Order: sequence, then C-alpha cells, then structure tokens
Amino acid sequence: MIRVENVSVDYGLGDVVHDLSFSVSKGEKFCIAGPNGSGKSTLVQALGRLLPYKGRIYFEGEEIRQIPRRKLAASMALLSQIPALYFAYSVRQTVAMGRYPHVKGRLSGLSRADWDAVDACLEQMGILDIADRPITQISGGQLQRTLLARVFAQSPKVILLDEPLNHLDLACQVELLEHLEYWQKETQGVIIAVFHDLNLVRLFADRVLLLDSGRMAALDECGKVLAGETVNRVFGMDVSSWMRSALAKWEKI
Amino acid sequence: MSKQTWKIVACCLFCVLVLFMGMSLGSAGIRLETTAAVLWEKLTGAQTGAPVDKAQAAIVWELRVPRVLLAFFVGAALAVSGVITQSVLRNPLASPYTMGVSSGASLAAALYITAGAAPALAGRMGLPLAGFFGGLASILLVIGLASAMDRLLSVHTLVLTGMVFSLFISAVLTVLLVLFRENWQQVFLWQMGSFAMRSWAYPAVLLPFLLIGMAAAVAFAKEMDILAFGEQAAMSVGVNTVAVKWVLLLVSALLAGAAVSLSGIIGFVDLIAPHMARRIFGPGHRVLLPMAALYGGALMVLADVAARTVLPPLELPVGAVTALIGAPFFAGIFILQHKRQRKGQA
Repeated sequence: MIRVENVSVDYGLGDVVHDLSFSVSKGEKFCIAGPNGSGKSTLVQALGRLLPYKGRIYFEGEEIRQIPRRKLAASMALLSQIPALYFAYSVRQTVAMGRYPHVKGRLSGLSRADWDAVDACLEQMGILDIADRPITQISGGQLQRTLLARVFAQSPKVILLDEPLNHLDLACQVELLEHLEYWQKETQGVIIAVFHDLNLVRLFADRVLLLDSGRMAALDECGKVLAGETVNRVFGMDVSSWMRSALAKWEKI
Repeated sequence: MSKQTWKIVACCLFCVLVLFMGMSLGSAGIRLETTAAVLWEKLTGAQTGAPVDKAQAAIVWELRVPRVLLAFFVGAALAVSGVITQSVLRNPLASPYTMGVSSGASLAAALYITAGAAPALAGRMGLPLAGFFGGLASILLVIGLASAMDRLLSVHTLVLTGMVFSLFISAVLTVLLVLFRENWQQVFLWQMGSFAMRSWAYPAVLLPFLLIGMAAAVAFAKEMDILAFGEQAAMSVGVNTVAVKWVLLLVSALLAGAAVSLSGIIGFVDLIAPHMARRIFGPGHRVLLPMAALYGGALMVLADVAARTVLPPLELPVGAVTALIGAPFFAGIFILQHKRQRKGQA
C-alpha cells in the first residue's frame, strides 16, 4: 500500500533521514522507533507529504507528490501531539472539518450524509455528549479524542500517528490505542505510528522500523527488533533488562 | 428561526441604527426628522411633505452621509482584514498592521507629502493612492522575504518578518521626518486617521474593494477554520496551506491597504470587532467574516461620532479615539478572561 524508495530529508544541515527504503502493506500496524533526534517524526511527516523530501513515496502505486493534497487527505490522515488552540470551535465543528477532503465546492457546506458521518465518529469516540462544548474548554484527553474523531471523519485508509499520546494520562493512552486498534481491525487500514515510549511500541506494533541518526538500524517483527542487540546499541543502554527490572518492581506491589 | 439567525438580525438592526445615528449627530444641530426626510427623499425620490432646509439637506447628503459610509466601510474592511490575519497567523491578537501594512502606507504617504506638489497629477486621490501602494508593497515584501526564508510560510517566520520590517520602515520614516521637519505635522495628522472632509468619491472607491475582498475571504472560510489547528494539521486534512496563505494575506493587504489609504492608520477596530463577533457568533468563519465586518463598520461610525462630538468645535483624530477606547477595553477583556480561567482551574 505504501512503498518508500530511497527517501532522504534534510533541513539544510545534512540528512535528518537518510536513504530509507521499505514498504508497509494493507492491514499493518507499523511503528517507527528510535531515540531523540533519530528522524522518526521527520519520516512520518514526509510520509504525509508534510515536508519536502528526496526519493519517492508511493501510495497505492502513485507518487504522493503527484496526488493533489485534498485527494491525498481523503485517504491519509494524521494525528499528532495536542496543538495549542486559540479559537473556540465546538467539538462537532472540529470533527466536521475532517470531511473537508470529501466536500466539493468552495461555498458548499456538509451534506446530510456528511453530518451523519460526523455524528457517527462522535459517537464512536464517546464524545457525542460534549459535541457542543468549545474545544478550548475541554480536557487534553477529550481534545485528543475529538481530534481522533476528526481523523476518522476523513475516512482514511492510512492513519499516520506522530506521538499523539504525549502529555496524556495512562487511561487516555490506553483508550486511544484501543480505538485505533478497533478502527484498524474494522477497516483493514494501515497505521504508521511514531511513539516515544517503547512500551507503546511493544504493545501496538506488528513491525518496527528502528532508526539510528536517520538511518535504518533494523526492520523486522516487533518482538525481534526490541529483543535484539541492535536496539541496545541504538539507545545506548540495555533496553530489555531495564524494562524487565521495571516490570519486576511492579510485580512486587 | 434559530438563535443564530436572531443574533444576525439583531446585529443588522444595530448597524442600521448606528448608521442613522452617525448621520444625525454632529456639530450642526440637525433634527432626526430632517435627516430621515433627506435620506428618504434622496433614496426614493419621493417628497415627504415636510419642509427641508436646503443648507441642512446639503450638510446631511454631501457631508454626513459620505463620511458615515466611509467610516463604516473602513471599519468593515479593517475588521475583515483583521479576521483574516488572525486566522492565518493563528493568533487572536494579530492585526494587518503586524504584517507591515500601516508602516508601508505611512512611509509612502510621507514620501508623497514631502515630495510636495510634484505628484499633484493624481489629484485628490494622489495621497490615498500612494498610501495604498505603499501598504500593498510592504506586505508583498514581507510575504516575499518570509517565503525566501521559509517556503512553507510558517507563522513564526511571517510574524517575525512583519515585525522586523515594520520597525525598519518606521525608522526610515523617522529619519525622513527629521530631514523634512516642515511636513512633520501633516504626516502625523494623516497617520492619526480621520474621516473629515471626505466626499462621496471616497466610499465609492472603497466599496468595490470591500465587496471583492469579502467575497474572496468567505470563499476561503473553510480553509480559515482548518488553519486554526496548525499548518501540518491543515495540510493533512487537505488544505494547500501555502497557496491559501498567499491568497488570504493578499486579500487582507488589499482590504487594509485600501482602508488605510483613504482614512489614515486607525487601530484597534481590526482587533475588537473580530473579537466581539467571535464571542457572539462563534469562530466559524462563514458567519464570522460578515458579522465582524458589520461590527467593525458600526464601531468605526461610533468612534467617528465621538471624535466629532466630544470636544466641539475641536475634532479629534478618530485613530486616537479608537485607541483611547480600544486599549482599556482590550485590557479589560483579557483581565476578565484570565480571572475566569483561574477560577476554572481552581
């Protein structure tokens, strides 16, 4: 479904992402992992055509730069960290913006079917009861649920996640992950995710691409990548021992 | 009718009332009936029967009506321009002046004034034309410079470029004024803004800018809503942010440039009118844009009424009035908001 060929990204000071090639197939939960500054976010942003890159990225056989942005948005959506918001749109208005790629015409509003889709997403995320509240007055967890509902309202085939669970409490993180997994099962869609927390990677991913300073360090099934020596080298510590000792402390409680 | 529709109707009625008030009040005491009779006669061509003094009719029709209309259009244009800039820069405190429109227009106007009679070719519209092109040129330069540094035209780049550019142009203006001290007063008065002694030509010139600018802005209402969530989010929903920003900033520059060139630099309406409209009608731009325009127009007419009636026979520059009322008003809003937020968190 997505094929990446020799992709590099630089911000003018050398490559942040260097010559990566891989593909992600339908129904896959794919995680990009690596330490700070390894290029995870940059890569996922390139996949969403949110910054200039060298090389080629194909979505369903078509180079994404050839696809008009609006058409691309009808199949690919992004959820990132909670943004700073200054304008008090209601939860429903916010979710309705997800229909933008599907509404033709400069002045036309949403059709009955579009509004039904919006309400279905609100209900799916359990935020129908706060649909008329302004987004500047809801909690971070509710806001991120609203933004995920907007992602679903785009009815995408691919969801890109750029550390969307940062600054959320554990219950919110678990809930959002469950919603994403449910969506993925229902639609057989693709999720490409960047998580900082390796626990989340372990929990969520089918396959993991491990990045080290913008280069591919490993690409394999989740368990194999996280158990290998490479992950220790990349993070500069014995990752799995540390995780196990943390878990042992939990078990003593 | 829905609640929103009622609010819109109320806002329109308020504007009509303010317009009528602006046409009736002034240093020459003209009765309300007289104003009404003159307007009725001119607009419908029918006699009302009431005897109307010719001199009074002339004051109403030749002086007050164009003046009030100009004030209304300028207020509306600045408010729409404000809404656009605030959306593009994702900041409710942004103003077209942030992007250098005012300083560019001032410098061009000052150059025109110091150059003296030479460019009198353009006639009475010479000074406005200079101001207009000055304002437009500066905002184009700002977008161009920002674009050269950062192709994606991110908010930080735009704001910083606009501010640095404005400061630079202001410094050039100061140097110019020191060199040509005899023009200091004239430039200063132009900058303060006024609607005095403006003929019908002024509102007539501004109206097409206002209508076209407004239509263009409303056509991008959806994109302006989506931009509130940040550029990457907007792109990933399918908005071509760079192109949309270029178009919107140009529209905003045309509106602000045209307004400023006909009236001088008048602040705060571009901040307060959108703020009020947002509170009453919500942030959705399809409704916000026309409503902010109405509020901006009404506010400007009120400010102009105050400018010419508070200290008769003196007339205050309307820019001073909007700042005198606007600054404390704005401070008040923010203090109240902070209090409420703190209460909310407690």
